[in-house]
Amino acid sequence: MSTEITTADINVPGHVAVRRQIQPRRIELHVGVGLILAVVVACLVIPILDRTDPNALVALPLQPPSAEHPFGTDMVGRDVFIRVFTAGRLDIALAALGVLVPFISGTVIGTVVGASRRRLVDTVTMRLTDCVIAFPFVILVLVIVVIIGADTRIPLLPPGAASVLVAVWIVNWTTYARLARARTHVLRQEDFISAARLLGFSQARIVARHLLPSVWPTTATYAVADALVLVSLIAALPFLGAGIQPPTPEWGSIMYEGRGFLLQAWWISFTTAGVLLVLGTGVMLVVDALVSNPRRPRLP
Amino acid sequence: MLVVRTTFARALQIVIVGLFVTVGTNLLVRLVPGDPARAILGEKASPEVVRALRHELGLDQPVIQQIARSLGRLVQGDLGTSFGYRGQEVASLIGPGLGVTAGLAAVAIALSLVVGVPGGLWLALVRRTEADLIGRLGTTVLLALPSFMAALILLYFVSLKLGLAPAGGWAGSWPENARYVWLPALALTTYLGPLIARTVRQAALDAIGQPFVEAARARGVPRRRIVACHVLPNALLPVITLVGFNAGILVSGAVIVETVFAVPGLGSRLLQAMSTRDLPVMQGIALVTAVSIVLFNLLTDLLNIAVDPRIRRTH
Amino acid sequence: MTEMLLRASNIAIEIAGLELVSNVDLEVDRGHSLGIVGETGSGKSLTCRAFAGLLSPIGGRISSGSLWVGRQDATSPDTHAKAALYGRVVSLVPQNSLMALNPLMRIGTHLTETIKALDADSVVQLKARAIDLLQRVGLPDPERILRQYPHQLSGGMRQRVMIALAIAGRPELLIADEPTTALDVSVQKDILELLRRLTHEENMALILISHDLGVVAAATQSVAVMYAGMVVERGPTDTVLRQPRHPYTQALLKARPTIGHTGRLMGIPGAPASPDTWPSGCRFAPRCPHADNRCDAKVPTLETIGGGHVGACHRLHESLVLDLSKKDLLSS
Repeated sequence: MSTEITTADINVPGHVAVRRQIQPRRIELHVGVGLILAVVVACLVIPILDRTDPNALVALPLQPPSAEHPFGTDMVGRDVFIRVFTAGRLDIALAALGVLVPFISGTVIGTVVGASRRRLVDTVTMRLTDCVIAFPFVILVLVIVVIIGADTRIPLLPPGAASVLVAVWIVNWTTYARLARARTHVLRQEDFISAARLLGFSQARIVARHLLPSVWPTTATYAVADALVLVSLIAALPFLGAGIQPPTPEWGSIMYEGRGFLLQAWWISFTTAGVLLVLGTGVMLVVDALVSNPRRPRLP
Repeated sequence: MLVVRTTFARALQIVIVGLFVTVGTNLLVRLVPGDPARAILGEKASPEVVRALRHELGLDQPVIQQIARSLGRLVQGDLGTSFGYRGQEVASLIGPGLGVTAGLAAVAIALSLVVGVPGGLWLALVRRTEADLIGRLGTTVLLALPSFMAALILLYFVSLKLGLAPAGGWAGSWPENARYVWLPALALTTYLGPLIARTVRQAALDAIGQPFVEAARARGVPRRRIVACHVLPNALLPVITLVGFNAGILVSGAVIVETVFAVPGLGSRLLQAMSTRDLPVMQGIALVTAVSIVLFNLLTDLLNIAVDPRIRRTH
Repeated sequence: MTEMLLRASNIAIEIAGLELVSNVDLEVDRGHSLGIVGETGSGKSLTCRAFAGLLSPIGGRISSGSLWVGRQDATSPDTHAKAALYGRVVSLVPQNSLMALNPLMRIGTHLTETIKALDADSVVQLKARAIDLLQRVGLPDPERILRQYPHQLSGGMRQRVMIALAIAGRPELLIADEPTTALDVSVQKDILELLRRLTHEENMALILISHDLGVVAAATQSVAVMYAGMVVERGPTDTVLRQPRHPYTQALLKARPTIGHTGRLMGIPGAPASPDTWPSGCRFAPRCPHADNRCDAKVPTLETIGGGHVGACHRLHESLVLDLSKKDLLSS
């Protein structure tokens, strides 16, 4: 995939290039950002406006959506609406934390390795990342979660969060490192890097001042998509007996608990799924807009 | 020659995967502060179980010796013993599950190809912008939908409401499994299918823009033949790599979807192992799936060599 | 008695609302060969795409004038009639032979699918006909080439394959768009010789597009010089290249290196005009050393010089003749 935007859209053999200015996919970007903001703002504001305890039993169990409880009540009588948006805070925060650390470490490692002239450093890193990519992400994370143990805690985060985060940090830098390395290899050919070398700048200065500013936009684009992968992962873990422990509201555990009541109370799982899907669609639209390649020829 | 080199590279990757699992877990176990066996099993575990795990993890030995011991066992095909099912071999525990998960993944890939290839080609050929818009929007929403949510939605509507499929379970033998497999496979298709459709669409559009399509048209080759023989093969080429690249994600999805539909594959085994913190079994599942994925990637490599005459030449 | 195969009267070609080619008048008779020369962006390739029916894929159309190919009106929307035209009456040898062949398809399949599409009589002996075509374009060991993929052939061999594909439908008019541009000089000569031989043997007409005056001089009987989307001079190749009357043709010939020439080469000052800013008068005027007030005010039309030689210049009949008869152009 290329983020390049060509100006010569129609290339007529015979060398007449009809130039047409290509707009980046503005609409997709705006709608995407709008959807993400809608969910984030709802998660921030709703628990403030309605200070009901998400674990309080507010009504009869399994009540369908109503004006009082827009997403109905769950199998013990808790308000799903409050639970979903309280859970959103945790899920989004965990995904952000899970993305941020590997994004920074992976980008730096990949750039340093890519800029390094030592073959061995490059080979070892690439073999390691090859290997991590061979594993199903979920399974690798679960193994690490088990080794770290459920009792490890990070302040402010609920039980179960620490092991998941650490596991993601251990695994996920590899993808960023690969992307950063590939980008660095392209940049190394460019004149401004050669010029910096000829001027005798140190390797550290070249990496920090010249390479990283051009590398991070590439890995940042991936980070947007990765955030969605992490939200999905965190929400999927309860289905495999891991993740955030109930009764802390979390999207995955709400859907997992609701799974047993699909016929009696579809709203427990599906309102949660709907909110997650709105967020996911927003993220996908932003990713599309960032990586889209707008060349579109026609079949004669 | 190229085939040999490709096979060798993948074999090497399998060796590295084995090394990685063994060395990685042994080192990680020692990095955890406090008593690792206690950390894994939690506060409530009985002292005997903790002691058994300490021995299994080789915590009573130096780390180098323990790594060497694990590697030695691995070379002999011994994945260790489960301590959730006392004394049972990990290999015999996860063997049947591997077959089930592989079957589910294979059906999902087949379904994705059946949906994605014609879908993507259609999106490339219809020039009307509405179809393009619906296609892009549809694939975007589906790609944003995690497999387990697709599984829940399909379970509710197709199985519980319409009664078109069993709500879960497994027949245990083919082709009787078909009745049970198609709904979980469809849940996985909601991810891979749109991805294939998008790739085929883009590759088909790239092919349509190539001079050889125009040249074929200029010498009077019928449109249907141009689509079937010039555009389609070139559009299918990147799909092979795409499916290979997504094998890991597909298996990740499969283990979760299995737990929704109570399919007795690796996912269900994983769930059991999680509940008892059965590290050897989980390690075994990780290793077996990784090796399977590398082997599958070897298959896609060879397929690429077989269908693209240019690769044979340039290497 | 001659039969006219192609007649373009006053055609203009538009892409995305931009008129890229204007007022082109060209005719080709059976057995005749016409060269079209011009620099990048002069509209020569676009004109030949129009002749080969390949405007619609790039979003172009003939916006005015008439174009007759064979006995058919090529501007009419009758797709059925057009299908009988392209490949059969008029056929194109494309520019880039590597890109113009499907990389995943054997040469043999390219040939057989074309024969099936164009030549109903030969369907029973597809392979024999394919081998025959390869032999006629001078490819050795045709049996082997049928089994090969495009990337396994050299550029010259691929160009021969493209020519074999182009003549599969026994066309009456062959259009070759820069057929030798991507080739080595020695191979160029062979390909030109092949085109000349084939058109002669099959009594085909040939339109050869090139930016290389030497190529056109070697292979064509008449030539049209295009600049900025218009034909500025046209006539027998020999006359036009030896006694060019249009200042642009003259400048083009002076800019060309020849063996034994020791002085400085004369470049053409300025840059070619761009389609969105065509000058209102003569399009060459801004770069023309002889331009005066008339040239900026009015577009010159083609005027007869004599012997089929025409030119579009306000000062055509003044004494601007450049005699190049001593220059060793035609033998190169």
